[in-house]
Amino acid sequence: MPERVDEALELASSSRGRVNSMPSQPSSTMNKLCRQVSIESPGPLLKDCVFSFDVPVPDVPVTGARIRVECAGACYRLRRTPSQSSISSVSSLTSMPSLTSLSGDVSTICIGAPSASAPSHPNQTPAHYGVRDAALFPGYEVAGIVEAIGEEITNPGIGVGDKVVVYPYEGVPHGYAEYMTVPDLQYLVKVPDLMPLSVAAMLPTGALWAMNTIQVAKEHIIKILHDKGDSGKVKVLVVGTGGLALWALRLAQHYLKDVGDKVLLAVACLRDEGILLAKEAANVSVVQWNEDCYERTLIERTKDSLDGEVDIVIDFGTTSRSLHRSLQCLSKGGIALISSEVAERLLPKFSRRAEERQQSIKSVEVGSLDQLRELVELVASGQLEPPPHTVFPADQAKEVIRKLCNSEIQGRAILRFHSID
Amino acid sequence: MLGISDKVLEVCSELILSEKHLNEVMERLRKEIVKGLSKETNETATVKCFPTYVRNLPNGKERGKFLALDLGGTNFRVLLIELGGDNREPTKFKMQSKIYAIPQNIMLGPGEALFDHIADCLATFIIENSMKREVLPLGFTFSFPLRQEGLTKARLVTWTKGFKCAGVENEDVVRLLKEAICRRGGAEIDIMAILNDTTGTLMSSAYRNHNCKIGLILALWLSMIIIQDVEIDVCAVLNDTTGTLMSCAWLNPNCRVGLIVGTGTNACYVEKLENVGLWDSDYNEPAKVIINTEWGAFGDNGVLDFILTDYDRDVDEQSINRGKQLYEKMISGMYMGEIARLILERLTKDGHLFNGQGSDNLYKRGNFFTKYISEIESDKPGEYQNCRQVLEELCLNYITDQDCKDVRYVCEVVSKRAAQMAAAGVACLLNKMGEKSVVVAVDGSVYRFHPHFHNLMTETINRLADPGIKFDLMLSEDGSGRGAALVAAVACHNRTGPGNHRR
Repeated sequence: MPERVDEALELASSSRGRVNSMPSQPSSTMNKLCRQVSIESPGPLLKDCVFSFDVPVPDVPVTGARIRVECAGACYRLRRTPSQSSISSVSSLTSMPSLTSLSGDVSTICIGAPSASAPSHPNQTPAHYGVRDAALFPGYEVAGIVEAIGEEITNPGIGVGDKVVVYPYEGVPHGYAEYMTVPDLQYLVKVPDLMPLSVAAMLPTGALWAMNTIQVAKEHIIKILHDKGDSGKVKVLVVGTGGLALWALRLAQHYLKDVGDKVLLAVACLRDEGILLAKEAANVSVVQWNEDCYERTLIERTKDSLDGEVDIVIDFGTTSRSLHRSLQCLSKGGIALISSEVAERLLPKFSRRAEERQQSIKSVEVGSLDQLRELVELVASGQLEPPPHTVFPADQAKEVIRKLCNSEIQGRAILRFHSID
Repeated sequence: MLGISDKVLEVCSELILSEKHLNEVMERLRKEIVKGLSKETNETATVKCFPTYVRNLPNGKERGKFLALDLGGTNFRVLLIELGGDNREPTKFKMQSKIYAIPQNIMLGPGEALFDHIADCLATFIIENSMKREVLPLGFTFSFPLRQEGLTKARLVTWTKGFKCAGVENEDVVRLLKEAICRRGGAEIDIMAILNDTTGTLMSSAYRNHNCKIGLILALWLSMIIIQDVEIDVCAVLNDTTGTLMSCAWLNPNCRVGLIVGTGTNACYVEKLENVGLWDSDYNEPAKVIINTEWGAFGDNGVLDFILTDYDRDVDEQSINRGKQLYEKMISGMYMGEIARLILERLTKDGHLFNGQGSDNLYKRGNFFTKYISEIESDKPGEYQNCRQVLEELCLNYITDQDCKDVRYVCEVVSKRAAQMAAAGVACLLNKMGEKSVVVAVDGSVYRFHPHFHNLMTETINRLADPGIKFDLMLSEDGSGRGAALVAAVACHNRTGPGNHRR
């Protein structure tokens, strides 16, 4: 501890010294710039959504830390302001932050006919395969090594050189740079030595989002089972076999163990390669949602594979089309869980239809900081096995995003920012 | 009221077929059918007109329990069908079925793996339905061009609809199926009724020694295969068009034509035996047989070149079966969306749609699905809700109402041409049969789901068919499943010979 204090003081002193003597020491050894990769929501032309810059190395916040980024999950940044999530109040495991119910939003939505020449909204959901498959999704996933700690921190608990994963707090940087900072140490979760940083990088959005969704689903499953009585079964459909969906399947295996014999789980595969991935999980039915099939054929096929209508649909990459399809597979009183990213736009469109059949469409946010801590423990202890992933150099981000948009990468794609330790 | 853009009208004009075009198509198809039926010219004919060996149509009194397998364009299904209620409701039936996925690697891999997959699905179905010890006739619907050599023997002529399994073309698909079921292992040779001492000795040896090779030979020889104590009697292999006709004929005695317009297209009809040059069996009553035309290959010899567009040639060149199934590629759902996409791509790149700004999704081959055409044409006139949703899915910005109107027009031109071409084929068959009143059984996703296809076909056939011929296009329910059961039922009813005797 005293050594760390000394080190911090030394850094501060050194910094001051450099500033003071700048005119007389032009050959400074301080690295001023670093590379940043920004991934925007994929639009009409894929080559337009990945950018690379040189940006200044950020200063160390006095109450936070600077992280040397080693691995980052390939996610895109939402163009609009992220919805308010309460980070200040730490959530318990059983609380569900930021659930959006239908009734509150509908009355304020104006559904007018578009004018003749109006361009469509720039934040439309891209219908790329990989997005619908939940292979590519919005988020911020960084795992790295603590490089410096703020000078006002007296009792860190985390030290320079520690491996950490960063919780995606409000105000995370726009894009992945070789260095990033957090304003508060609470946003850092230590990664055990045996866990590769590429695995850790999958956790802060993909796994966390899937975890929160499965926990929400479990609450509904328990309620449905209670209503159905002893012989009842709950039918759950997960759409897609991209990284998010694969996490959901694994988390379902873990969190639904105690009700496992009463839950029928099916996966809607958008790509043939997904069938093998889905079948890794035991006792999972697979239904092919080939996009070239007519909607009624797919709905019939889905009901056939689960012997009837579905009680819960989990669709991270939902579009108007797949949500409409999901609702037609859902039973009366059924629940569709969709990502908060698209809920804002789709709820007005579908709420009346859902109400007619007493169906609910609920949006699910990325999970809480405590949930992230739990995730790290589950993976570290081997209770939760990560989906397959591939590591790519960060300078190949453009190609990686193109492949993800076409669901050509099985599991997750991780960008590596420094040479392998 | 917005009109269609001039440039869009101009680009689409080459897809519009005149009455003269359609009459020429009819005449050329008639000639190809005659060539296909004739023994001397069948070898070189493009429309092969295979006899199906199905001679009897159902009469509504068929009874019994049947298994059916359905390998087609989009699904693989196993069905258990029980035909016949009581005397008051003779056409009542019960059905259990299960849909199984066929991954791309199986569609394109070795044929043995495909048939193993089918056998696995069948076994899974039998286990899941806790089927008890019994003998079940099985009808196998194989929706690809087949050259039948008997009711239970048929060779695959060529793969279509995206399949390309090695080692299946020109092979007997019934034999491949039986071998796959035997390969599953665990198939127990039950002691059968003894036909003669030799058989009994051989059976006894096989049972005692668990000699797989002998068991295989016996199973093949006796045409008996067993899964979980259920004895499977493959008594028919058929094409989905035959099943469609049979399923409709069960309810409509005037049904004589079966038509599929779905992932692919094909037709069958009832022909007099005297016209079937390839016929190699008896001429007892009824002196007729269902002919599987395999008309998708019409045009493979160039007789349709006079109406092919560059879009059609592009679709053909990029397909897995280049130079084949030309008529099918102008009509069926597997290709219709791509034709529309190619037109939209050209119009966009030339600056006539979406302000000249396309998207990777629009420019990607295969990304404009045929169902988009049906959805866009389901919008009410002047409304563009479905159209806008489709275009948004293609990541297009700057969509105007004029764009939507033009896109809809492109879809209408493509689908109307398909309907007219299919109608020309049906009219050709009606004229050839010369019967006064005919029901045409139709199935397939394009016919089922496109909002205007039925009417477009009806009005075109009305113009092209000979005066005095009355016809109805009727949607046929589950030709691949129930039709297969009916073929099996009729086949069992008419079967004679030692194979009929069971324990």
